[in-house]
Amino acid sequence: MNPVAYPPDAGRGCWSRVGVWGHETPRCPVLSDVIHCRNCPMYRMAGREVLDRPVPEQYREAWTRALGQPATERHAAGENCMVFRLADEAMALPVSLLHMVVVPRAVHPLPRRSSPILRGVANVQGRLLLCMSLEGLMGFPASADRGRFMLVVGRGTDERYVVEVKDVLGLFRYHVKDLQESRLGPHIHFMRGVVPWSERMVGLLDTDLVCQGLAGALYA
Amino acid sequence: MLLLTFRLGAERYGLDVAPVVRVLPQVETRPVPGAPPWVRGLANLEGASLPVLDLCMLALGRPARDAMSTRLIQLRIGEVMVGLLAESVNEVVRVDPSAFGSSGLDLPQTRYLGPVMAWEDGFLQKVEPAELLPPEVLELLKT
Repeated sequence: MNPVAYPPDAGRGCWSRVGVWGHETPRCPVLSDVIHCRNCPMYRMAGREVLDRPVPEQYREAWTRALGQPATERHAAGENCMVFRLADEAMALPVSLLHMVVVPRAVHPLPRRSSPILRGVANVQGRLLLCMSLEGLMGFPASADRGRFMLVVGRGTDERYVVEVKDVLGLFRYHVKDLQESRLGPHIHFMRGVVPWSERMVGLLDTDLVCQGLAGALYA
Repeated sequence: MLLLTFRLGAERYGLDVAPVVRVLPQVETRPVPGAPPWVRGLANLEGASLPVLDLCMLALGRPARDAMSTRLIQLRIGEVMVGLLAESVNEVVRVDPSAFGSSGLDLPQTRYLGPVMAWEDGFLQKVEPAELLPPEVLELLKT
């Protein structure tokens, strides 16, 4: 077996020069074998080195203080959510999944692929995004009237959907201690529970389940 | 089974994740006079005291390095909560429990070092947290 010919600066940022995140030529000779820098031992070793770096100043002091706090104060942490209306119900979605709120735009159906969940594609800032229906996903009855806003949602940098909502009602932060189990209902499947918001309870959507549901609907 | 891996010197070891409560950054500890050298001290964890044991000191006779990957593993041993300080705590691996074989050595001082399996270029050895502390010490920590 021939020794592997890594680029001369292997392990020190080669991935952003001759690897998948760079544009320099000649390309890394190993890249054709490993396909992606993620699979390369050089990249993995560099990653471990990052974790092995010395502890920065005040790191230990800061963590000692943070972990010394009584549990109740730290666990009072919650999540920021956006409340919007879907059909006739108020729903909350953690903002970690939310990228943009835009005015509704034309949805172009996909021939032979459109379904109650996959409505088509929409142009958001020059990017064609799949337009999905949360009502369809969660089993709300279909309604003809259009919503007032569209939300661009998704995780990471690649996953992006646009969903239409009837109205955006506001932003709020719930505390974990206020999260309650939702009473049985047809939409319970995509919910983590209910949280109090402005003197009533709203359904808190589970980001994982919603993402899985949307992705799954594409292959249904 | 899932093992949380760490290093003692150059060698890889693994800890069953079931008794692991959390993996935390290093924190400052209050020394305990009269304790063995591998007892790093007491850490304040959410207002309760957590005894911190330095695995490097216990096995290698030198304190754990000051690196970001040196982490405090909060572990439940029976009814007792302890913190283990270990180096290069940066991976969780899935292994086949039947791939482990006896190390062939049973040293009374290092009974906490369990069975081994071939892993990458070397061996991965399981650490048995229940054997880390003598029963009488566990009894003391309970109260």
